[in-house]
Amino acid sequence: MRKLLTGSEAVAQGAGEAGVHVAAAFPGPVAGEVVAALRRGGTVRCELLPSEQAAVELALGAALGGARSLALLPPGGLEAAAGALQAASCSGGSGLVLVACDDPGARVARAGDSRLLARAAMVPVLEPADPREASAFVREALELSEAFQTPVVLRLTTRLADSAEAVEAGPARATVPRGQRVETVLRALPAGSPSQRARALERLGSLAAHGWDTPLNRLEMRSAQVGVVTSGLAYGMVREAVPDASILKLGLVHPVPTGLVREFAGRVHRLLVVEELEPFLESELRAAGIACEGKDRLPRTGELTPALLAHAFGAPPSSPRAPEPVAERPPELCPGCPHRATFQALKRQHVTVAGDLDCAHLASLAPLSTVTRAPGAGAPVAVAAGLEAALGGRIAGRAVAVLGEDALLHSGAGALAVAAAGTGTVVLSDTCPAWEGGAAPGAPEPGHHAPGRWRVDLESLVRSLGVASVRTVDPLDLAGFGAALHEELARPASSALIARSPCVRLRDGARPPMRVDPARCNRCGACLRLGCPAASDGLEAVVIDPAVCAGCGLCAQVCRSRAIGPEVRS
Amino acid sequence: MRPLGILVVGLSGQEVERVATLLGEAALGTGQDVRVATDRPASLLGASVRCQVRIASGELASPFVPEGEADLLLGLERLETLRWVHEVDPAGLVAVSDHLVPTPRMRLGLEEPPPDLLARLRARVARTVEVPAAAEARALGRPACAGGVLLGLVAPLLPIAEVAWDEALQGAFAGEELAAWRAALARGRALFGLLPEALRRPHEPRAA
Repeated sequence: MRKLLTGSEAVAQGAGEAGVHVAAAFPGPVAGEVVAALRRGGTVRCELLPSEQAAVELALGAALGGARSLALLPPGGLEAAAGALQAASCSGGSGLVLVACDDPGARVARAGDSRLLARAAMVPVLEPADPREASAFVREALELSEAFQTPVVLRLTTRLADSAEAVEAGPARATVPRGQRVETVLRALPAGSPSQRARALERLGSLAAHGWDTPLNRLEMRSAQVGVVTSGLAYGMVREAVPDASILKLGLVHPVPTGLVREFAGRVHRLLVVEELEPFLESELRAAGIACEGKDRLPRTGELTPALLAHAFGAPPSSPRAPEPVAERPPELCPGCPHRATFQALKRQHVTVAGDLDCAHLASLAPLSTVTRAPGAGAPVAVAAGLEAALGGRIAGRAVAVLGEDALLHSGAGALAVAAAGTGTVVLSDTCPAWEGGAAPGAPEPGHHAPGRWRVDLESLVRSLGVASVRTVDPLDLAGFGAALHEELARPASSALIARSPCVRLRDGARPPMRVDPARCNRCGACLRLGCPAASDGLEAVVIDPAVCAGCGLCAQVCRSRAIGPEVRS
Repeated sequence: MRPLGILVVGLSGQEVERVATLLGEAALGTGQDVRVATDRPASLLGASVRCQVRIASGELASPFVPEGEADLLLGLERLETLRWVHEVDPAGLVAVSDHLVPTPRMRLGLEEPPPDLLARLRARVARTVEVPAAAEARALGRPACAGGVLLGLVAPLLPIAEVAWDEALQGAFAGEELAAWRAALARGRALFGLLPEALRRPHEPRAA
């Protein structure tokens, strides 16, 4: 049966067909969507973990136990799991595939290049060119992993994960792990020895030789004028931009099959490398003494487009029609989001906020403009402590770390155990079910709160880390939350304020929308400064769109004219 | 024959991806090759989303509609339609819903929605038609089906069999939701019948 599948869905389809037994994911963009599709398939056991490293380690354990396993990582995830990737490489995990994703357009993550990390870890990389290949390459990657006793990185891009085509959907295959003796498994775990490096290098050599004749790499000879070495979605764009060019399409992009490329280069007048992000293939080819063009014609940042490619192949620069000037539409928190209340309270306290990467990072934009630093998953506690260490008394008690439960488990807990000895305040915003920030296309991601998601008793955890004062308050009670925040900031000991209120997308039962009494509204704008998509300035009074309002009542709490209240239905 | 390029634009939360997928599945059901590319929105609700859908009788190599050559633009929101109209071939067709979601600056009263929006669309693409898709969807009790009205409106212009549309709907929905989407497409088809003759012709692309 042929079905329109996105790249993410295709990976899940391929995993089912290849008999993957365990998938360990750090939920986030792309990885979360693969998990959701796997759950719909129902044959692969999915484990969600609060860090990229833990996801890779669980998958490694499953592979050592003889199961075909996947680690599913969001954009930027391979960077965060670099240590675990090295460990997996040394232990030679067989049947282990790390599905990594790069984001050349930097839509949801820093635009890093996973291929560089895989090269550093001496691990092979497969790169599919479309969803069909994304599905088929899961099996290819597993077979490569088993044949060469190495983890394999399956590299996607967000653009590929989000593009769809018709994919032949075959039946899923349930497998039983081979099983291994515990001693064998433990021996395989790396303790560090020179022989491991030698083994990895030998493996890479065999893989490079394999690159000569594997059907993963495909030579398409057409005109001898121009030869193109390319991989990923760029392949399709090259086909359309220069239909008569000869193409060496690489599916196995690391190690680069330089022998094959050298032979190809000898059959064409001009060799061009087309790749997004870093000149990875290009530098490998140049190091092997193969003359080629590449980043001198194509940008090193951003996504490739048909126009950029046409230009690289000598077409006159395209003069696209200028877009119409249209008002900017920055991303916003949802109507009714509890983060809005949390950050409004923080704004009133005039504190410096070290924030996190979940939805709360949207509070860095006007009109809330509260978060000043959003460095990375789990980082806020350490960053706030660092600010205090540097600025001392000038900022004492005024640097607040705000992070979610997931971020605390990711890497914030260690920093909090140290910070607990100080006087800092941490706001734990117990709202987002997981890394929603960056937004999955379409519906809220059901994978994030399906069975199997971790649940911790935050209060006990924070207390056991040594935090002196732990309080739980609903941020949507703005006055109560603000008072608690004020007290905790003044406390001469460490404190944690748990802002607990469910994500508006998970809240049960509709609340009546708010309504403005035009006779009382003086258009002071206090409610508008909350940045809620439901409220806008009207001619006579502020207007609340009942179709958009989630009924959280935050606007009513900031209104001094008492002009806002729940709509009374007759 | 040259592939057909269609853009579906709107805001996250407006089922833009769903509309593109329905269009793709229906074309697939008619035996065409289909590719879809989605611009991942920057937030769960209210952020700009664009889907590119390409349909061809032969095999497609890439999901990207060449710049400025889209044959059809389906706009679920008026400002987003204006944002992407330059990507449409001037001889193409724009179908825009009557729905406008103000930007944050507009809500604060710092900026006005463009009063001449429809005229600006028509200056770019003469064959621009505005339809009350949002109002029709609300009348059906499901604001999310506004895209269904737009799909029904342009369905007669596309190389897609009527039965394939219904199969695509059945693949995506069930129960009351399916009934609402079917009704939305039917409303769109009825609106197509009311269009002037010039708008009821498919786009004839310029010779290459």
